[in-house]
Parts: sequence; structure tokens; C-alpha cells
Amino acid sequence: MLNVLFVDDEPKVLDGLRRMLRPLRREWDMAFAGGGREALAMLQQNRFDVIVSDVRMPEMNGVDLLHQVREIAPHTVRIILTGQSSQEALLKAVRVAHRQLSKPCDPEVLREAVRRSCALRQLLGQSTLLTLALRLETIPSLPSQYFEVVRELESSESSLQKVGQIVAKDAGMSAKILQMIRSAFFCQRTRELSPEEAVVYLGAETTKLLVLAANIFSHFEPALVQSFPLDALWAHSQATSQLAKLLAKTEQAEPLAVAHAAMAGLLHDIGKLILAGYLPDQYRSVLIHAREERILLHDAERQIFGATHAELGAYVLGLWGLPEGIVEAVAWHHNPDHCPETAFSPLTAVHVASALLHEGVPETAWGPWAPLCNTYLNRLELAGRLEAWRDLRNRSDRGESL
Amino acid sequence: MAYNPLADCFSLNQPRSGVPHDSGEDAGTAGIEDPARLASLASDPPAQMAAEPEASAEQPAPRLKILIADDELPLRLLLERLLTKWGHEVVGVDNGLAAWQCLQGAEAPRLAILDWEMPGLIGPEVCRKVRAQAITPPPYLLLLTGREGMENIVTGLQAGANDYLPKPFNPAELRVRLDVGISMLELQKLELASRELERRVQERTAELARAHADNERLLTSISSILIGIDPGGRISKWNRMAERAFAVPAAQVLGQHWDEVGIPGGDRGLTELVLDCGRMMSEKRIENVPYTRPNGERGYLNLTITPIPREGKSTPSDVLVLGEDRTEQRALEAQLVQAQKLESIGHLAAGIAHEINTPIQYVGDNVRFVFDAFQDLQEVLQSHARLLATARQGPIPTEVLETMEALWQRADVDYLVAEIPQAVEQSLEGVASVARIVRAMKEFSHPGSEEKTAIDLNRAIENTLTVARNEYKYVANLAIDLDVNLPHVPCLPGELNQVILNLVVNAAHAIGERLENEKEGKGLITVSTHHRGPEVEVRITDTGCGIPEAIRPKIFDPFFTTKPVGIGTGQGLAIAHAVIVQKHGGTISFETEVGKGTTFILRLPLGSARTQRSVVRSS
Repeated sequence: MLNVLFVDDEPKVLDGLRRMLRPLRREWDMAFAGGGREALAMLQQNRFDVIVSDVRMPEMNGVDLLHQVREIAPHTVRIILTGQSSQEALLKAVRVAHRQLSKPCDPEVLREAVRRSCALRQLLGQSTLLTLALRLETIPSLPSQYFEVVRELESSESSLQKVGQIVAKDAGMSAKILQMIRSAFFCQRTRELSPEEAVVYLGAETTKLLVLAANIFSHFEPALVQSFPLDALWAHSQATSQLAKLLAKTEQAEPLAVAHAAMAGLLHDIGKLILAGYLPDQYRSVLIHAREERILLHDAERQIFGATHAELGAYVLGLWGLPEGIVEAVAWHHNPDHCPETAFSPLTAVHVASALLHEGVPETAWGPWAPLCNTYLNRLELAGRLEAWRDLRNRSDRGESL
Repeated sequence: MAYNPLADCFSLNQPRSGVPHDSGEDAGTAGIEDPARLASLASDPPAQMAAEPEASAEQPAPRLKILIADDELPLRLLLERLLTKWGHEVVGVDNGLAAWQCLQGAEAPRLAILDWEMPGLIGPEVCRKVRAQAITPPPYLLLLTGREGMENIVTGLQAGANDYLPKPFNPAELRVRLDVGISMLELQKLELASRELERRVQERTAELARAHADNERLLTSISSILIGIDPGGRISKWNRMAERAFAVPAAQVLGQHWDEVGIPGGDRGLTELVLDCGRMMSEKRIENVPYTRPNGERGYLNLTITPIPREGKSTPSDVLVLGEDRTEQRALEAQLVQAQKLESIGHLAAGIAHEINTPIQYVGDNVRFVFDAFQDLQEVLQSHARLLATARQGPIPTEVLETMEALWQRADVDYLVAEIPQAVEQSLEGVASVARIVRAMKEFSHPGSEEKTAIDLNRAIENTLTVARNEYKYVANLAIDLDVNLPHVPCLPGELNQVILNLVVNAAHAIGERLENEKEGKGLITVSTHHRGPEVEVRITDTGCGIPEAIRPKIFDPFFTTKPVGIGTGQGLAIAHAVIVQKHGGTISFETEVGKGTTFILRLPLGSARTQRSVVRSS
């Protein structure tokens, strides 16, 4: 049972929500507070998994409330449900809320948001990783990429295309932009956009505000760039994205699946960025441990953290509202067998692409590379395609346009 | 003593005594042959001159510089003496050339006595030369003639001499001729002065003409309409702007009576005012006088009527009518008002969207709930139907009863029975809410008319409060106290709504500011209306931070604002003031206490509902 707390100053809205969500009364344990103070009092008494709050309320507005919630209940998912649409509101909310939904809200959307924000939580259990994921505001990027984006945005002749291109190559920036675009402030029922498209859609004004004023991007300390092979990771993520996309196309996947494959390919190792950025010392020792013990990195992570970078990354992406297809592909890219499906999917594409790209490449500080999961491929009856896929990889390595 | 010319003649033979006129001696002639006589004269001048004193004592002779040109020394000396005695300055030369040179000089003598026969140049020759040279001022020339005879004298005069004096001469005669010369010189001077005067007068006249022309140009080029009216009511001035504005040339109108010209639109009231102004010597101003422009369009004028006092008289006086065409300005003002209204609506739009979204949210939620609940209830009802069917056939098996009970529990029928009516009721309330907001919006943003209409002020206030609710509801509670017996108030509804809105928004901001510092609960906004005699009073009170003493005089100033750049234009109160005071003839004032709050008080006259297009102000 999920414990969900709804906060709104209009009692009729709370009544309406209570009634509308009645069918879920067996899945969710729901509570309703008429204002910030009441909500905080309830949070002191009980543990809530999710808090859904309005923004404009008298005495304490929703954003201030969520800031406090983050301090006193760091494990609670924070969702905003608001009738306001001003930029001002957006900027204030952007760093403290995991999801932003607008009124009037389709009950399905609300259900999905709450549900998905908690999906995969069981993977992270009660570990510190869960708290980290919930507190996370940004995912750091390579300093060079970060400064290039800032420079481009600050220049008087900034080109959104260029900004979009830089963002599209960076996992942290892409994830964040996709979270923004999923926010109700911009984009409720449009088709899914790629990070590049998202930047252009948001427009110069808003992108500048988000990046330069709200600081949705950040960068690694230069020292960290040395101790973790982040450049290599950056390059690998892009390569995986391209190869996964290629594989998906070759396998005649649906356009949406192809897009998800590309995205998931870029984002699949995002967990590593989070760990390197926020728990550098511990993560360094994990890496050392993995190399010394000759075990795979994700096994070492599980030993020490209780969960892997794949699960962490996937959880954060789910929390930020990215599409399910991407989240799944990221979550299981190291143990795809866990997934019950039986057909080629973005997960397949990412798993295969990542593994193929590691084949024959010398080991780095990231430790031994994870191999292909043959049981998985056999189950899907795709083992026979490996030949063709390897060929594709070789050709793209050589720089052939495909 | 009587003047005996004969007695004055020189006689070298007779030494004179102090009593000349008694002497009766033979005058004799002063001849040049006898130097001795001259010498004796020279030695005893006072006696010789004795005959003169009376004449000279009665008329002081004007002092002149006189030239004597004679080669006969005794005669020259005699003349010198005589002339000096008469009070003149004398220059003596003994030849014509010297005389000629002397007369050319800078300080030339004004009068010259020239001998005929002289070495160098003869007397007439000197005259001729002087006149030929046209020496100015022309000296008076006296020729001394000997035994020349009449024709020669004529020649001498023709040569340019003014007069002649035969030798031997009688001093008295000399004196007379001299006086004549002096008079001529005086006359000359007068003539010169007169000519100079004439020249100056001409100059001044030219200047005056120029100044007048400038004045005319100024009047013509002034961009206001200028009409001058004399005390008789006739048009004395009609400048170019007047010509253009009324399409009537000045020539046609000057001298005509003011009434006959038909300015503007034949409003009789105007004539009265003009006459009044002239009589009372007071300035009057009329605004927004409608008139028909030459192209047939409707225009508006602002007229200022000023009396021009006449010197020496107090009344009646000329009157100057200064006019300005305000048509374009009025159009712009109307646009500005509309723009501001749209701006405030735009600003409110976000808040209004929220106000509408919120009810829509829970209406949707409630309806879905009712739908789901209905599904559940249907199952229960169906189980009842089955029960009925079963019961008809015989005893009811326990499973059926148990199933029914289970269904009942699962559906939580008690809960549904309690909640469904509430859900429906709240939904209806939500729908009504939205309808109310939309209607208020419609009424609020209705474009104002130019004419005043009598409206239910309470309703207008309620509408405005609904439309603005989102602005204040987070920071303040609202209390209203509207007089139910309030009569309808003639006003411009659109603009009045705007004023109320501005004041309410200000109130909300003031409370918001205070809450930022104190962080305590919510403030209170109170809106009330009262009927007070010939007026209606509207009060808007807030529990905000109050207005500091220093800025109290400025708050109605245009563009004055205490808000940071980008928020508000400082126009709200200035517009409120203009609307209430100028367009409605009411008053706007405030009571305030720093730290406690502020009350704005509007007073609107009930007056008559007749539309008033102009406001007459007299100073």
C-alpha cells in the first residue's frame, strides 16, 4: 500500500480527489490536508510515500511546503498539482518537485504519476540510494559540455539548434530536459520529444531561464573527471544510443520504440554519473573493490549499496516522469532476463548495443565489462541476429553512414 | 535812451563823449584815408561804442565765430572791436586766400564779412568758391562793397553772398545786417534739426511697421485657434487656425458679430459665456465642446476665454478666445482607457484561469466518482434483482444472502449513499462558480460607453471582486457591507470598474507586503457602500502596511509608484483620480495609518442621469 498525502486549500478539490481516487482505496492509503501547516503536522505523525500539493495556497505556498518536506521527509516523492501556469511558478518549483501536473488533471494521469514515481522503488529498497534519488535535483555533466551550453545560451547570437545538439549528447542534460518537457507547464498531450526537439520547443527564453537562472544543469568537479573515466563514459553513452537506434530500426521496431531505444541508450549508465557525482568516495571504493575482486561493477554496487547503477538510474528517470519504455530499458540493461517480455524491445537494443560496444575494448577503471546475456537472447530467439548486429557495429565503428 | 543812428556814425574828427545821442554831432563817414582817426578811435573805444550798449543790453547777441577779411587794417580792427563787443568770436585775415582757407577749415566761422577788393581772392570770388564747394553748413557771407555800383553788387550777390554792406557803413546798419545773418543761421539750424527729426520719425515708423508685421505673423502661425472679440461682440481677430478649423476665411468674418458666425455648432451657451467674460473680467474655460469639422466629422474643442482689459477703462473689454482641437486626443484617451482595461484583464487572466480550473477539477472528479459509484451500486442492485427472483421461486439459499452482503460491503453502500449527494451538490456549486466568474468577466470587460448611465453600483462592485478574487484570496479575507438601498448611480461603468479593481489590487498588494514581513495569517479587505445625501460613498479598507507620511501627497501623481521596476506602471491611482474627479465630479481621498492599514474613500454625486459631455470650470 502506498501512502499518499494530498494538499490543497480548496476543500472541494480535496473532496473531489478523495472521491475520484476511491477505486484505488485498496492500493493507496490516502490522506488529505487543507494547507501547508496541516500537511507538515501529518508528515510528522506518519510516513508518506508521495505528497501531491497545490502551489498557490494562503499562508504557505506549495513550493515552500515541498522544500520543507524534502528536509523532514526526504524519502517522500514530491508532486505538484496546480492551476497556475506562470513562468515564475515554474522556476520556483522546478528544483523541488519531481513531477508537475496541471489542473484540471485527468485521473489517469494522476494515477500514473503516483504509481510510476514509486515503481522500482522496491529495487532500491531502503538504501541510501533511495534517499539520494529523491533528493536529486540535477545530474552532473562534463565541465566542458556544461560550459559550452552556458556559453552558447549567454551569447547574443545563441542558436537553439546548437544548444539542443550539446544537450542531446549529454545524459544528465537530456534527462533533465525531458523531465521539464514532461512538466505540465509546457507540454501536456503532445507526442514525445527528443532532447533536441525539446530545447527548440521550450524556446530560447525558457531554456535560458531553466539553465541560467534555475540551474537545472550542473557539472562535475574537475578532480572527479580524472578519478572516474567520465569522458569515456560520455563517449560510450552516445555510441550506445546510436547503435541501439540502429539495431531497433534494423529489427523493424515501431518508431516510438526506436526513439526509446535511442534515449535509453544515451541514459543507460546515468546511475554511474549520479554515484560519481554525489557519492564519489564510496563509489571510488566500489570501483576498486570490483577490480580487485574481479567482479562486475554492478555486482559490486549491489554488494555495497544494495542496488545497481541501472536500478538507480531507472528509478530517477521514472521519478522524473520519463516514458516507461525508457525506464525499463535502463533498469534491466544488465540483467534483461528479469524482464518477462518475449519480443525485441528497447531493452534488447540497449543491452545488446552496450555489450557489443564493450567487446574487445580494453578495461578501464569501470572494471570488467558486462557480457551479453545469452539466455535472454535465446529466449527471444534473437541469438541468430548477433552476426548481423556485430557487422552493423563494425561498420558504424568505421564511420560508415548507415 | 533813444537810438540815434546818425549819432552813431563814425567820425574820426569828433572824439565822442559819454552822452552820444545828445551830441548831435555830424556823423561823418568813416573813411579809410585817415589812419589818425582810426587810431584815436582805437584808443578810446568805450566812448565810440557807447551808442551800442542799450541795444546789446536788451538782447544778448548769440555767440558766433565770425571771419573778417579786409586788407585795410584800421577797418578790420574796427570791425573786430565792434563784433567782439557784440559778443562774438572774431577771426581776422587780410586777404581773400586766407579767407577761403579759413572758411574751409574744421571749425569754420559761421559768418564772414568779406571786403570786395582784397589781395589773393576778391570777395565775390571767395563767395563763389564757398558755394561751389557747397561747404556745409553753408556760412553766411556778407560782402563789404565800396564804390562798386549796383551791377557789381548784383554780381556779388549772384556769386553767392547773402548780403552786402556799403562802405562807409553805419555800425547800426552793420548790426542789423548781422542780426539778419544770425537769424538766417538760426533758421538754417532749425531746418537741419527738422530734417533730422523727420528722418527719425521715418525710422521709427518703419520699425513699428515691422513689429506689427511680426505680430501678425505670430498670431497667424500660432497653433491654437485665436479669435478676438471686441466689446461690441464683433470679431476683431481670426487667425489661420480659426480659418482652418471652421473653414471660414478671416476676411469673411472680421467685423461680423460673434453670434452670426455660428461657432461652433451654434451652442447658445457659448455666447453667454463670452459676454459674461467680458463683463466680469474673469477667465472661463469650457472643455469638450462638440463642433462639426469642415469635412463633416465630429470634433471637440477646449476653449479658454480671456478678457483683455482696455487701458483706462475697467469694463467692458475685448475678449480673446483661445481654442484647441481635442478630437485626436480624445480618441487617444479612449484608446488608452481601453488598453488599460485590456491590460488589467490580461493580468487577471492567469488568476481567473486558476479560479475556473479549480472548480472544473473537482466537478470532473466528482462526476467520475458518481460514475464509479453507480457501477458499484448497479452490482448491488443486480444482486437484489437476483434475490427477488430467487425469493419468488422458493426459499433463499444462504450463499445468495452471503454474496449479497459481500457485495454490499465491497461497494461500501453506506459510504456511497452519504457521499453521492454531496458530490452532486458540490459539482453543481462548482458549475455555478464557473458561470458566475464568466458572467462577471463579461460584465467587467464590456466596453464602456461615453455617456453616463445609472447603474447598480453594488452589483458592479461584486462583479469586480469576483473577477479579482485570485488577486487577494491568498492574502486576505473579504468582508462586504453594501447598502441594499443604494440608489442607482450615474457613472461610466467600465471606468468605474477599473477604479475599484485598481484599489482592490492595491489593497491586496499592501496586505501581501505586510505579510511578507510579519508572516501572520491573512489580512482583511473590507468594501462598503453607503448612501449619504446627494452622494454615494464607497470605502475600500485594507489591513496592509499603510502609506508613509512622506509619500502621501504624491500617491495620485501619474507614474508615481513604490513597486519595483516592471511591476505596475504607477498609473492606477492617477487614473482613479482622473476618473472620479474629472469624469464623475466626485472626490477620492484616503485615511491611513502606517502599520495598521489604509481606507480609500470614493464619493460619487448622484446628480441627474442626464449625460454631461463637458465640464465647465471658471477661475
